[in-house]
Amino acid sequence: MPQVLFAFDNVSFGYVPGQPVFNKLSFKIYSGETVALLGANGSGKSTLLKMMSGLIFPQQGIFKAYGQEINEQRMEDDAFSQKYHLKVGYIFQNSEVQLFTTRVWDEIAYGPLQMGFTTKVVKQRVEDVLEMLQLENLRDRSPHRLSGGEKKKVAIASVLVLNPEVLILDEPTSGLDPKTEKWLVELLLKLNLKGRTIIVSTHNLELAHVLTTRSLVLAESHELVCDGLTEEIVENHELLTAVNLIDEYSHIHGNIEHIHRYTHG
Amino acid sequence: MTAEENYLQLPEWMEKTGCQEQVNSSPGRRANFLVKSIRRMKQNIADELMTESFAGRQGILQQLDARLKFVIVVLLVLAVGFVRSIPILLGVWLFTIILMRIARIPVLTMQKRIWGVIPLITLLISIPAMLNIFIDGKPLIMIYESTQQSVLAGIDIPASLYISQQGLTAGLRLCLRIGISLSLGVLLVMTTPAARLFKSMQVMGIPALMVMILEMSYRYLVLLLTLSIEMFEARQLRTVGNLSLSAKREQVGSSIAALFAKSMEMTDEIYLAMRARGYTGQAVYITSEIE
Ligand SMILES: Nc1ncnc2c1ncn2[C@@H]1O[C@H](COP(=O)(O)OP(=O)(O)OP(=O)(O)O)[C@@H](O)[C@H]1O
Ligand SMILES: [Mg+2]
Repeated sequence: MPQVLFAFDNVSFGYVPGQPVFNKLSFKIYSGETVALLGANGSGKSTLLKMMSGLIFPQQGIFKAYGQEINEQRMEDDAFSQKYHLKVGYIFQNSEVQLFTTRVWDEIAYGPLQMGFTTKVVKQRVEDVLEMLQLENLRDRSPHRLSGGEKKKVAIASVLVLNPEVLILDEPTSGLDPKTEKWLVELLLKLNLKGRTIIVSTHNLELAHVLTTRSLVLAESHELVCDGLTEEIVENHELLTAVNLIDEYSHIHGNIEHIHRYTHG
Repeated sequence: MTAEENYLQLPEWMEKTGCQEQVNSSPGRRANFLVKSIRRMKQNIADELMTESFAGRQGILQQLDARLKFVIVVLLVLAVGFVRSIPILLGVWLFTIILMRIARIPVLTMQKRIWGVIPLITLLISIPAMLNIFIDGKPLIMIYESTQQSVLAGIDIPASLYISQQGLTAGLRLCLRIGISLSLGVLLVMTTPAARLFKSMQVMGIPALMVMILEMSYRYLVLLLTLSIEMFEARQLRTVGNLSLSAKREQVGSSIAALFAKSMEMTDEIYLAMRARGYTGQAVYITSEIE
């Protein structure tokens, strides 16, 4: 029986008083799973992922990680939150916000240095990650001046370098070229084989299909409308249309979605 | 080993989970400053969104024509700038508070926020001006008094130094004026959707370029605030721990630098985005769209 990693129990949350985003959400994520969070724009994917990363907290209900309730007070304990963030890595949807140093190398070294790794280990890890992501040429560049996809890669590198047990990625492939995207998928699958839990948000059904076994579908009303096997969900036309992820002109052939918007009159 | 395999070779430390190499974890228990800043900024955003929701509420002031409100507020602010009588100023203030009440704006919270910072600072910096050196009059608070005039380094030192009654009145008047003007401004902004407000400014003959600048500053202020929150969150994920004061200072410093770089970059991108949609330096507006 796999260990429960994240447990949402009747969780409600809203950014603005009186305008809830989530209302009484309940589900569990197990250690070692690959999970896709599917939903149209604004359905609350990023919000949910931020809660898993311990950045925002339920206003009602209980969110537990590793069997422990995660709330604001607990996260204010620096030792606890440091340990938590070391275990649960989060890659932001907007990689812009993740970059704040003046050199790519420093950017990647920032996390391990903060977490108290020795200089030798930090150097080793940064070099390894730079090589792995083929970012060696960019090491001395300023992160702000990189292309969108390069920024994304640096953001991914800056989290991978911490070697978290759980990787939460918000729209990981947006802005990546097909080759890098394929490479990232393979890397994530490999990390999953080595025991990491992978959680991604996406509206890319193909990505969900190649990467994950389980999918959670959020409706535009922010409700969790489906929780099941990804391979079944990507074939479930009716459901995907209902949550506005695809429209009636999209067809799914085999397991891959093709858009025929203009050819079918 | 082929290149293909090589390209997905995990470094050894990534083969397994865990972080044996970590040496010192921080023992701190206090809410750290990053967490606090994040919370404060989040509150600001929520406030901003709240403002919009007040503007959308049903109330007498909310329904008043934006242009009319704008003119009235501008006239009142001007009047407040000219009136010297403190009782009249207090009267206008009371009137503003009553209007806030009618508009169903939380009076207490808003007044606290309005008076908490700017008028207080004004009062502090105007203290020197209240001294008898600048505004002579009946002594109110004596700072020092001596019987004979002395000379220090060639400068005459007056025999006494005190805050005069007239000086204090002038300082108070200044504070009241600022506080009331702010209250009026808040009243206008909170009862009028931003878009309508900007449009009405334009109808009132304020140059289109200026309105556009105001409008864009407003929009990007909110955007930058959101961006800063996320930046701090991203940093928090990788930091945490009891940093030394100098490290904290450094962090805040580099965040400000990064934010500045980003906003500069954004300026370029926004400009390009505007160009791409036909902007040539001349803002074109439709003014007939206001209901
Ligand atoms: N900082 C914020 N303040 C107020 N409301 C917010 C904030 N962030 C998100 N929201 C609102 O919460 C809801 C969920 O947003 P969220 O960013 O989680 O959506 P998403 O599924 O990630 O969308 P996308 O696919 O566009 O990234 C939206 O209605 C959004 O308007
Ligand atoms: Mg999102």
